[in-house]
Amino acid sequence: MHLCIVNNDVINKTNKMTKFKRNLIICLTVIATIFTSATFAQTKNKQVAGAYLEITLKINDADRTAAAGVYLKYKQPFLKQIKGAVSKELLIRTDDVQVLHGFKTQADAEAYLKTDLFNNDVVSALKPFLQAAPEVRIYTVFTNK
Amino acid sequence: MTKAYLEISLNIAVENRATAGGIYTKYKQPFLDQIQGASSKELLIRDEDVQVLHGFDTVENANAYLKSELFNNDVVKELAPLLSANPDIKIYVVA
Repeated sequence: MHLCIVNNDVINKTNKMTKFKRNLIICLTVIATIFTSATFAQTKNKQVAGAYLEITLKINDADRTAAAGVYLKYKQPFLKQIKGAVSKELLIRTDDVQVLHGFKTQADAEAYLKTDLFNNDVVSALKPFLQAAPEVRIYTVFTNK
Repeated sequence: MTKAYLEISLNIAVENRATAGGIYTKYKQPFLDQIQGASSKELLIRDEDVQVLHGFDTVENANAYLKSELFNNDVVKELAPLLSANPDIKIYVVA
């Protein structure tokens, strides 16, 4: 009888431990899954542009290095400070250059054109190099959903 | 890594845009699967026109695509009836 009680105690303790371990494993799995999907969603959000702002600029060959300097100077501030900014690339061809900006939404692209960073910094810095008025286009990305 | 973009801007009346969207969707995957150096294809829309933005690994591959059968026999032929003006084609290299 005494032995039986001891045995039961041991079995109970073992059961409790197994249950605890199982719960712990389940908890950790859930936490890991939530963390992974949150990180993935963040990365995905950052990469997907829902709208593009294309600014096409006529700049003489001689001024293109200086203009590229302006682009580089304001690239990081753009990506860090501007709401919904996703990407910024400088595209070059013989006829002109184009700054291709990715945004989360069309509203974010429109809002950027009204910011101090755009008007006081970028526009002022590029002005001396422009041979014609810039061409500004905002497009939304077609999604098949 | 996209090192070049091909931008094709198309004047398409609003009533023809759904059809054009269908053509874009139909040839998106064949473009990405078959065309050398193709890295992305997006359809961009605004009131004035639409633009197909293609990403490539090199300018040479962007140029080569314009000479491919997929572009000339399929995409151009199907889109031609929907266009209200000649397409504007630009190829840029990424700095």
